Amino acid sequence: MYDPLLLPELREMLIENDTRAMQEFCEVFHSGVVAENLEALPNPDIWRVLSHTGLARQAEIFEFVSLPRQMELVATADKAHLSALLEEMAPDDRVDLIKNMDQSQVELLLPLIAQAERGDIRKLLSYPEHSAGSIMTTEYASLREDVTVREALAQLRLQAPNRETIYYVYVIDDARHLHGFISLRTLILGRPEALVSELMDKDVISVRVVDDQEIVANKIARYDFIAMPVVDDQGRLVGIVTHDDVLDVLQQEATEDVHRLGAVGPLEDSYLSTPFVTLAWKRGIWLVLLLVAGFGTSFVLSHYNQETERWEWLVWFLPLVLASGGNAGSQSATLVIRALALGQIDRKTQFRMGRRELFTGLALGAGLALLGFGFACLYVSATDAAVVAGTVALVVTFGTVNGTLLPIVLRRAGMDPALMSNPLIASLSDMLGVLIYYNVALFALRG
Amino acid sequence: MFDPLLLPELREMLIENDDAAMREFCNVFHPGVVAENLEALSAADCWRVLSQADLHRRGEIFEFFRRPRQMALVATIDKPHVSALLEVMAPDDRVDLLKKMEQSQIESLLPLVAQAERDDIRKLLSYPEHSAGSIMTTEYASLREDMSVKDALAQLRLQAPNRETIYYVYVIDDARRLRGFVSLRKLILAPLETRVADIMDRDVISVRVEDDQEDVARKIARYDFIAMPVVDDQERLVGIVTHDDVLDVLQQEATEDVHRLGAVQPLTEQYLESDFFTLWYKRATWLSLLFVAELFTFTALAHFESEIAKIVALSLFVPLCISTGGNSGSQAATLITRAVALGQVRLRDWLRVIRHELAMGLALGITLGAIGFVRAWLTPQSILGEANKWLLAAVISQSVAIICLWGTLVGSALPLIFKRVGVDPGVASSPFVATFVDVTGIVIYFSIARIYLL
Repeated sequence: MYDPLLLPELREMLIENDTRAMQEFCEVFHSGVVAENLEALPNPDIWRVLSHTGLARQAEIFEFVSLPRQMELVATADKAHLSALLEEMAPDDRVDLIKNMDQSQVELLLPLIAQAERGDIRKLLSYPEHSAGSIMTTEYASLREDVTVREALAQLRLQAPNRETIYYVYVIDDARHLHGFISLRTLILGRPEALVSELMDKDVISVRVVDDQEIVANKIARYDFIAMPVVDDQGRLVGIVTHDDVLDVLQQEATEDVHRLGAVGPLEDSYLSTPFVTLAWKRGIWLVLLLVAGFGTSFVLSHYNQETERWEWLVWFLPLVLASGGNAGSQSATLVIRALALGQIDRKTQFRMGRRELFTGLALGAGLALLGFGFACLYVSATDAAVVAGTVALVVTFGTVNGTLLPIVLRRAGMDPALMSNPLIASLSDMLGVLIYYNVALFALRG
Repeated sequence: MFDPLLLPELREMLIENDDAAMREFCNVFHPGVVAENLEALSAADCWRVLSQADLHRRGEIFEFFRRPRQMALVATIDKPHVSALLEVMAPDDRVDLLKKMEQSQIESLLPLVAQAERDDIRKLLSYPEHSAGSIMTTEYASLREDMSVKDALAQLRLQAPNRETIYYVYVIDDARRLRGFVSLRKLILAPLETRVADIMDRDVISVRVEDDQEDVARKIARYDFIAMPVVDDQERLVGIVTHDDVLDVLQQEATEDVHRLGAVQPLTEQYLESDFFTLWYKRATWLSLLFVAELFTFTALAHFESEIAKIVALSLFVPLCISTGGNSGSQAATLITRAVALGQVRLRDWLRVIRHELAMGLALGITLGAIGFVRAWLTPQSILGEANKWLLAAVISQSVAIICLWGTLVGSALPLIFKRVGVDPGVASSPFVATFVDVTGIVIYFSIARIYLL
């Protein structure tokens, strides 16, 4: 990706068994670049290249390998080496990997891992999926408030090698209660004799360990932090979430939302690496549901059989009318769902949003009704065309209102608003559309 | 948001004219928290509170206001104040603000801004929208390679107050060519006499100033960087893009993608802040376009007029059959569009994608067709009239299956075709695909009906 010549060189090294070059390859480049190039090789070759560098570096590189590939590599490594590698990995990355492994496999590995690390793994594993606790790392840098800047810097030098970041340092007491926060920048600029308590920020913005990861991500994005402290319900520091994890969370949440909007159960892997059966299931289940909703439309239609026979042209405009409602509803749902995901709408503003969508729906409906009237007049009488136009206006307005309300209702019910996908909104508005259409027609034409 | 009691307290301070408390409010809290609370006040009150903070702090707080609020605030004070504020703001944030202003307003402000800052503004303004140059800041920390670590740390202390970050430091030569990179972590761990050249990384991952911001964002996300250097075509360091800007870019791009998927032209402001007319326009254009396209369903249905007249029951299943194609098409379009946006699928993968989707469309189509068969067969004879229920069930199931397959293929091909001709693949929204498939779906449905029933 980054240097197209690296991979052929790497293959050369393997053929010539050039240990020096392999070691250099592992150590000179950014660990992400090393991982990217290694991913193109078969598993045994990856382990061979990695074996030429120290365990700590191996772990750094391994963390950059994609999760599905990590799983493959884990399956081909011997347990002793694997447990050593797990000890070296960052706590959050290692827990992500372990979560994806079989329970039996994990139970075999854990006894080989040092007691302290094992306790850490079990603790992180215990936090619920999608909580702050599930994405945080426990390797944060910390200080006491009564030390001087000089002492603080000396302590940080000791902590640095196995801390995720030392740029943000948290000030805690004996019981690990969070008292303050100080950045390395402030420390470097401070007088060596000054006390940490004089320089630190006492107003620390933190999240709770059970908070949703999306809240954490939105907060970090809002305040431009490199890291954010995570506290338990007694205000004790238990970990930090770092900027890079937040990027991953935001990407992942956006992908989930987009997939849901398209009526697909969110994929965990990339599209091309998702197995056929999984993909078929995640799509099939929704399609079947939507098909059943479509039966509803047919069912409603069958009640208007006589009208259909009497006024044949009604059916000709049916898809047009129904699609307008579905399209307008999809627009509203999309806007509401995204605004909810970004935290732009709360309980107070959702009323404003509803009112706004109602007016937009009316304006859009009126515009489309005019277009529809003009078109229908070419084929049917003005009265008939007015039925079509009136229905379009109503269906579009109802579509926008549905598209706005349904995601908000889902959110209220504690579900993901993105479940209200575009196809689902379209299906629901189809059913409603048929009802409106035939009733307007009956009202206007029966005379 | 953060402390619900702050705002009432703040209003109290304003009523009581408590300058000391206002100063403390500005200085004690995170600038983001200060800005959040100030957003609730009138512009005049905002300035009252801000005037208690020193200029530097004022700039920091101001950067955290949302863009429309910044614009409103700038409009209410005199030019010397604005230009002073511009001088202390971070280069990238101030250029973002200036970009939103009228050309004439900029021209009247710039002469009041100090020469050095003015040049910086003009330079950053000159980079094209969505390029790395347009989101970078020029306030990076830099060192020379022949320095000792001790000198380097002393240098950084001098640079720190007006640098966006000092945690990532770039090593440059006299011509500003990028030679290496060293993190502050490495610097404080190294012995004081070591030369920077001995501890720096020489293999620096950088982006070019004209690269697309999405590529920059993806690179930073991939390698977990706090910042990334931006170089010009002579490999000279011109700026850095920081992690917080990348978050903004990714959020913004995701929002654009989602809006396009819902057939809305992407909004640039927050939903509640976009004005009504803009919102209407961005939706009406797509909606009308889709409406006009949907008119062809009328033409198609009118074409099969005699078939409908003969067997009215056929019309009952029109919405069902065509919505199936829209649904399966939406799924395929969504998956492919997102995979393209994340760089998981490239154009050269097209054959794999189509093969994959062909098999998927068949599998899904057969499933739905089977369910459709049962449903059509269960239709009461009173509704069907003279039509044979077995034949009707065959028509429905085959139509559903073929239309589902067709929708899947269209949905997966459209984003790739759009990408190929240089249109955003996100244009293949769910409503767009559904409309496209509706018209063709009707033709498929009645053609099959003709074979069996007429």
